[in-house]
Amino acid sequence: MARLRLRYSEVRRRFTLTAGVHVSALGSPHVTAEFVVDTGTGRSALSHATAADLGVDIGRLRTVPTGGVTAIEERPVLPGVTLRLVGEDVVRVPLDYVLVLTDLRRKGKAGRGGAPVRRAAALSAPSLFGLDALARLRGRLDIDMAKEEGWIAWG
Amino acid sequence: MTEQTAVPEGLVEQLRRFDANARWANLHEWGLQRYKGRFVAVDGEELIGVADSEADLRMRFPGRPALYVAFVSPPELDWIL
Repeated sequence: MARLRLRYSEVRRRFTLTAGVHVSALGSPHVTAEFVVDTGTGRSALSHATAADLGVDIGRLRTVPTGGVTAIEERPVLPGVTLRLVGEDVVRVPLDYVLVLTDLRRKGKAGRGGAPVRRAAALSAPSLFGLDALARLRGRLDIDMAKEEGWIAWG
Repeated sequence: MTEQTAVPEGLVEQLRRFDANARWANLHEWGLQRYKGRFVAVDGEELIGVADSEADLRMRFPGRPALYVAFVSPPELDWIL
């Protein structure tokens, strides 16, 4: 069984991984991106910036209703995306489609984030590695919060 | 789905270098707090740039496929997805 060690951020309190992203229909280059591992996400997603790096014309993508934490919104979908993960070996994860997330917007007055966050003019939404990708990989997710370590295993 | 031969040339090395840059940023995330609210660029496992926008850094360092750019989040800011 091959494994990939996740990264853990103490500040953001999240696990992330690195993946290569490719859309064969576009003939685009492989783009390297960071993904947040999100077990609450049933459909993986690319940040707007990563989609743009792939050469995607986001305005021409069809949209689907997507439930988020606080709203249901129409979001663009990108079909035929392949992720590649590098652990103890290289694994290809073909996905029927992913969502494309727009950049983050601030709502309301500055709260605890305060001035430092106000300075961030354009903050990209993260790319998300969801349970659909883990299922396609037929993978297993192990998280040990006592050690702040996480792994994805497959094969 | 596991591949041994069909991986595009150079991709594995690119992914490993990007991952090493991201791990460096994680390892130094408390030290990088001096730049909180800004964006940092890491390549070659060292800090190479700081700016107020990700776009600025990507324009400043073109042609680096393993470049890792991250927002330095203040620790008091909670994130949910």
